[in-house]
Amino acid sequence: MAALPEIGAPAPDFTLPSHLDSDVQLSSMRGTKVVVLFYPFDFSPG
Amino acid sequence: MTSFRDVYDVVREMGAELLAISGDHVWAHKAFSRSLDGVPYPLLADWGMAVTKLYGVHNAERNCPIRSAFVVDREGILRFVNAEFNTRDPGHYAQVLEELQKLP
Repeated sequence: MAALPEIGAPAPDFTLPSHLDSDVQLSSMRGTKVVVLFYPFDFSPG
Repeated sequence: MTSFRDVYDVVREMGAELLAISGDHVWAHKAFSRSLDGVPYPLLADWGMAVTKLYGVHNAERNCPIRSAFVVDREGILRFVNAEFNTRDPGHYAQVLEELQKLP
């Protein structure tokens, strides 16, 4: 597994398509605190 | 990831947003959201696992993300990581909320 990004450093930026239709870019959310969650699969328990 | 729905209002009250990422395609996310009567925060499609790998949470054996939570402050700086997030542990949710509360 690759290393986790470093605490205290800029969070790696990304742009991904969303189920709410518009793409989401992390860096465009500057000014807002963001919780980024990763989960294995849709319909996975939990 | 349905369980953060229960704390989403609290997250919003703290001036924060949630993004949930898996490798499923957008059409799967839409079906998933419908099955839950709508997920209010974006479910993002990391088709190809590029972002998952960028964040170091790729499960190579199953080719999916490892359940994890990252907190990013208003300046875009990473402030907290839990790379072994357990949805059965209420303390893990509390930790994320605590981190949000600490941030200006």
